[in-house]
Amino acid sequence: MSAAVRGRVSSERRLPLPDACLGCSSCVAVCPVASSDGRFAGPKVLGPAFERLLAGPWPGEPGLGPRDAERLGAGLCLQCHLCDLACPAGVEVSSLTRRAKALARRLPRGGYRRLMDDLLADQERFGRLAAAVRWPRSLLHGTSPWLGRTVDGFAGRLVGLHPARRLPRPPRQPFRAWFEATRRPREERDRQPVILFVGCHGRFHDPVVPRAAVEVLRSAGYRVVAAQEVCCGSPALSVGDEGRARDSLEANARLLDHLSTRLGGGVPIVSPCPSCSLSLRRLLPELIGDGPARAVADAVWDLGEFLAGPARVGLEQAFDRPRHWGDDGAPPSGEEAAVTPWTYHASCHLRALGVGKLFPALLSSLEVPGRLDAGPAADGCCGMGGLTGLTREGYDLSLAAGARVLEAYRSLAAAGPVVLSDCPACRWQIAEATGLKTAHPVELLAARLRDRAGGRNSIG
Amino acid sequence: MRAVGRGAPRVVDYDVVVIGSGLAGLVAAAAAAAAGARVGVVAESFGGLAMWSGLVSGKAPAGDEELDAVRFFIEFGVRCGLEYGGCGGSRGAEGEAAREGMEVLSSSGRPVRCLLAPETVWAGDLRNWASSGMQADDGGLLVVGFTELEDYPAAVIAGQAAAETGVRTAHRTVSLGRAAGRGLGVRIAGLFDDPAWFEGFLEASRRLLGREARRFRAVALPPVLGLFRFRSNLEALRENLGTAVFELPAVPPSLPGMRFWHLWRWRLEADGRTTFHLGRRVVEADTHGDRCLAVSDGLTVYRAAAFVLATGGVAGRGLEVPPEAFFRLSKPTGALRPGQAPGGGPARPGERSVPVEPIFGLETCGRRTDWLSWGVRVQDSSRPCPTGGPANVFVAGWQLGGPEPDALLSITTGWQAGRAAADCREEGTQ
Repeated sequence: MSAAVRGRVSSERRLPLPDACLGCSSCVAVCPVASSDGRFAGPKVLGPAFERLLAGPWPGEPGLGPRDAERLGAGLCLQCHLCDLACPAGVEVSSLTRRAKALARRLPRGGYRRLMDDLLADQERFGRLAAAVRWPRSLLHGTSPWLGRTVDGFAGRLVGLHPARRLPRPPRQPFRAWFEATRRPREERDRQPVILFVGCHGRFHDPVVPRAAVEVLRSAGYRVVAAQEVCCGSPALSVGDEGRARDSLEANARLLDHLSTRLGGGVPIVSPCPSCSLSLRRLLPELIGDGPARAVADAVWDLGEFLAGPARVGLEQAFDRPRHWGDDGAPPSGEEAAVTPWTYHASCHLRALGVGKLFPALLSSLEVPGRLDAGPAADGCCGMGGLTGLTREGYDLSLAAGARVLEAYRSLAAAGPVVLSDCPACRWQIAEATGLKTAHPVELLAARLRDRAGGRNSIG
Repeated sequence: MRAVGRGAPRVVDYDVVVIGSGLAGLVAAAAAAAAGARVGVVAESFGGLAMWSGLVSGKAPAGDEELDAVRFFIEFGVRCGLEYGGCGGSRGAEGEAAREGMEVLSSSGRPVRCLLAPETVWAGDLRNWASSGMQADDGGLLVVGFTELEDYPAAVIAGQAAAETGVRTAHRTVSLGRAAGRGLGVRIAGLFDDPAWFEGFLEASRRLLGREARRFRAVALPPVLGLFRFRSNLEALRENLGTAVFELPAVPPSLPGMRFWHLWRWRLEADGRTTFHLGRRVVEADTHGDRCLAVSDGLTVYRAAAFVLATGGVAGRGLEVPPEAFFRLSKPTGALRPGQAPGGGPARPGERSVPVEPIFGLETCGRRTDWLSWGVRVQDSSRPCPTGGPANVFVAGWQLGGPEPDALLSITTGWQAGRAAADCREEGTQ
């Protein structure tokens, strides 16, 4: 007989307990902002210490307020969660710094800037706006790439992006349209369903990643159902807007719970974006509470975790299917030379999920050749911090915070690798700062699968 | 064990699961991976390493097995880019090096005895403070501090070192400029990792210290010369100043400990056999007969042929299961202090704290410790000895007892536990 002895069982690891902080500064040691920006007081001060002083030193005396949060640089926190992983005392530091961030946001700011801040933080609205102007933008880019870039640059400045940041090019076909066009309901009827939580970046700006995810999941034998979703709330949190994040999470909990029930219950929810996975998995129970929210949170998988876990067998079978190009399975001569070297960058939110870096091992076990190692210095935060690094104010900070990591990737430039990362923000930052090609690891998997089917041998 | 959450069970399979990623956990993971096992490390964070000065203290290794463990530790360190050396020589005679022990100067201004030390805290022939000849007339030590690093008072350290060791000392404090901000060691280490900034620092150090440094046998700097580029930085400084340059070990937050964690973890991940599940805490263990089948962090179930408990004696936050889960003791013991919760952390309201059963004269790895210590009693095979416990659970590190921080214990027991756990896998497959 099997005996299970358990302690506290919960998908939510810890509580933000400021009093457990020993003041050891381990969180400051790993904080990408504290080590690169003197204005930022660091997670120890803005987390546990700030929280303790919020209520005021004595009853009746005023505690810390928005001005204090601003003075200590609370707005600069990137919400990368690395401090949580560093704390030896188990304090959920990032939840505490998030509160200080939210407090700093209460300070009155210029009307237009606040408006644009709100627009960027509300990726749902921003994405809809981008979708509305997709046609004219496509037309512009098609007629004259120069004109397209100029207009994009102008629009970017209007919404508060740094001039060096380029808006992604408008997608030729939005993900949803592609998805509906390629669905084969009759063939897929008996397959096990998975809900794909696409994420705003895939839904509105770059459909390549969710497409690759769908292709790979379908090859592994699943019926993919694209969720009716709203933004996961993590962009809102990155500017300290907890109210908006809560609304998004609540809506998602409702939508996903409903969809899962309709599909027969207990359907895994898979997201190719680690920030979405983290937001759903950790913040749903923290901000929304128990009930369906927790059940949804517990059903969320990061794509890498899902492919390396339950989908592994199906994926291996898909890779075992004979190639089209020869009975012995050998590629035609010259094909080996076309191997793209790749290296893998784990985003901070992927680390915070605690699932491990699964894609490199998965790619290696599926015999995807060309792996390069960027060394220990590349193992860290790229500095983008979601939206922060895109904005005019956050740009310099983002390059400084990611300097070491970006330099490590730059040093690989001679080999011309593609940097694989799950996180769209990391890909954006690394591509712009190093000039290297970037992709989601699932794109490489999809390319290899297509390759087996006799298609192109390149990414994207 | 119930699969937590809805949908597909979230189960991961490994040959060996190591709980904890402090010194013992990393060594255990490395040893198991070196023996060919697929290893999963489930840990909250870097545990005691945050407080570790990087010096390997303890009693001199006794017996071949302990020497093998030390050898492995040094060899793997070289692969990680973090060289450890002892008094008797660096690589060639690794194990033997640790036997002699060495004396390095610490940031308290006092020489401390240790068995092995990272390459950054000694320079050239300065491995042993007592026999370094620093006391001679042409010797002497220049202690350099940084204005922005207030926790590191160069004047006090130099004064202490002169009083404690009789060496001629002097001190200088230089400013790192505005980039250092409100100077915390780690922030400064970030600067030292930036090649462009370091070029400027080299230039300035030649101007500010160059002439003075040559009059001393060695220059001691705070241990903040980069989290990754420390080796090349030290070499450049040595060349630039024309004298021996080394770091004084200091804690916390310990940069040497962080370096260790980052580099070992990176190496293990890059080798491809080890997966780190960080920020997770084990809350459930599933035992069946004399075997532990799986542990769970509440969301994911980690199945393995063997388990290593390297959950720490001091910081220990990786385990939130009563020790009975693994050992089925009639009386609870564990690396617990009065008032602590079963996880090792401070008890929260409503949580049960476990009474402590002190064990006198604990015997670990053939070495007898005579002080009062807490811990799980183990046999030489680093198996917890209470009968009826699972045969595939091994203990490593400070949980094995001893209020005295002893890094050698973590290294030797980590290595033993890792190898023993990897052997379980072979037993399982045969």
